[in-house]
Amino acid sequence: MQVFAFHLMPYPALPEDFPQRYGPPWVKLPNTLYDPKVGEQVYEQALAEFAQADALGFDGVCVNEHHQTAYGTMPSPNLMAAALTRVTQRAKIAVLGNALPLRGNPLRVAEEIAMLDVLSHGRIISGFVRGIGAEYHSFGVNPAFSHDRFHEAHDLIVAAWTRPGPFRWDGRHYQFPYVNPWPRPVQTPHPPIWIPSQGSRETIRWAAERRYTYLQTFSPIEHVERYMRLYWQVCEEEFGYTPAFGQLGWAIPIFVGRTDEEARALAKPHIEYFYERLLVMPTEYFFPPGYLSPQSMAGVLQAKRGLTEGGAANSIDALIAAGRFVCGSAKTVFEKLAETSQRLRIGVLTGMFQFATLPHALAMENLLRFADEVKPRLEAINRD
Amino acid sequence: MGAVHDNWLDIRGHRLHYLWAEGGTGTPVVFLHGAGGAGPWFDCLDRLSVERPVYYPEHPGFGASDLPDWLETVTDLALYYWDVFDRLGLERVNLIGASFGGWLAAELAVQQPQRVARLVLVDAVGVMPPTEDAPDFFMIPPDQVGRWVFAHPDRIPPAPPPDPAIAVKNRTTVARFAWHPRFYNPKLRHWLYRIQCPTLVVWGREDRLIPPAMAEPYLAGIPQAQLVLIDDAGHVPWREQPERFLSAVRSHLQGA
Repeated sequence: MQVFAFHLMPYPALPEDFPQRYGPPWVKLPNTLYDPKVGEQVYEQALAEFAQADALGFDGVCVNEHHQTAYGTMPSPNLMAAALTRVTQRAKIAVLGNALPLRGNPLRVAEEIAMLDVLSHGRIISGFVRGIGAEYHSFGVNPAFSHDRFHEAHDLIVAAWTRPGPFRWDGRHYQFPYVNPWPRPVQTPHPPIWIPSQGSRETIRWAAERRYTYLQTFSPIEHVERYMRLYWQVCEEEFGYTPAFGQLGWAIPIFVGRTDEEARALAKPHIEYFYERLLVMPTEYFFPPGYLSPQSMAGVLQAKRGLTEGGAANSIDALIAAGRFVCGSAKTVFEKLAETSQRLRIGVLTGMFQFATLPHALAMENLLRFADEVKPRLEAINRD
Repeated sequence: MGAVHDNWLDIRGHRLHYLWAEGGTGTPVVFLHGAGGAGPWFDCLDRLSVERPVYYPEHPGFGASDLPDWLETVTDLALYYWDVFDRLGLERVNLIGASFGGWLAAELAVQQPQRVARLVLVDAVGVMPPTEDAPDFFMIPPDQVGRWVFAHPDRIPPAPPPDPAIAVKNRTTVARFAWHPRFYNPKLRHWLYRIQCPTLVVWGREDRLIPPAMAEPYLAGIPQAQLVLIDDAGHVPWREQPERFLSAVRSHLQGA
């Protein structure tokens, strides 16, 4: 497997009672709670963790985009990726991803990814996402055009990287008389494209058709299983090819301790904070109208499903049982990851080794222990 | 008052669903529904149809009506409606527009003022951003909208829950037209001077969803506009105070 280290750069110093006082940490959590001095530390520590992952031989490091939230304080993943071109030497740098419909001008994404690819000597992986529903509230972007804008922006960016410029672009949402970005990317035909998603048949079909790596993010194991199998099936039955291991990715928080008991005790408050307090929002935030297809939306409303499930479902035991967190001794962690990856033919693991309030020192130990005792054995399986 | 008919129009390949009732000889009324969709025919429409035909269409993208993919703004929607009126043979109309439908009615009256005999804007959005005290419509869970819509939710008999597929379709169409800018067209206030007809701006005095302060730009911009505030009513005064609502609307339509 290829093993990547992912980081959200979450804000770790919210008041204890923030959910009662302000509600979910998205959209309307007052930014007066953000202390730039704490922010400096968050960035410094995350960059140090990434540098360590690079030194420990991880295949890559991953950043992503979130807006106006304590969940992840990285509105521009491209800026952080630029910093990573300086603090890492060998690791690939995966931007997972640019939220295309939220970006006013897709040509800027084409340009910035190309810049990063040149700056990193061809180490960039370019993820594309639509952004979380809450971010359509934060950014004043119409969710009813989210799918359309995503697809057109993607087509335009790939064209900008691959077609000799200048050329015209006259699309539904974007029009340019001269598409002609300087620089062009180092990698040919362009940096690998990854599609992180919570899963939908439409997205999987779209990614499988283009042989893009599909990355299932922070999901219960039953969803990981359903979508990995679906991707495989769509590749074989609809598009007539067998996907490479590297086309199936799994993003999940991981914590390795000396023993199962120690790992659980150390991780417990932080992983529960992550799922119970940070990754939580009402349906109206998560699924603004038009963000999902009408069929998916009707299902969501009927099931009253949002990210609102709280309490017992987010206890560490329940999270581990549901496969939303892998935690334990190196042996336990390896067995869990290897079993799932072999069963589902997953070839890309993006582990999140720092989550929510997990202190920097523990995150560094976690990376170190994972790199020493788990990664070498994982690397031996599902290699293309 | 005549029978209520349930009909369809084919507008260049897209179906539009509407209800209508024959009535007296007055200029027809078209009632333009709000963000919640049309729903069934209701009592006020019946009583208005004593004097004149009443049309109650479902806007493109709402209820059973199709949405032409290229309609993206309320200005587009208004242009589309002239095709609808042409097909219905409505040379001149009285427009009653409620909430989102009020925005649509104002755009229609700006586009072809000579074809609008009387205009009634009911708790209408469209011309200014929501005031500070108004809630964000898209943050309200659908099952709690009633609390914002009615002045006295406790006095409203419970309605059957809407078809979930239709509710999703309506809300998605509202987002398409009103997500950004939020429920208004920044250009509209500059064009209101074109509206020539007498205009009644009706508002539930206790409307908390679209507070009465949001009537001001309509009153300031439309040359012949007058305001009627309805006591003990919120965002849908024809449901909470049908008699007061009807009496104001009827006297406004008199002679048209």
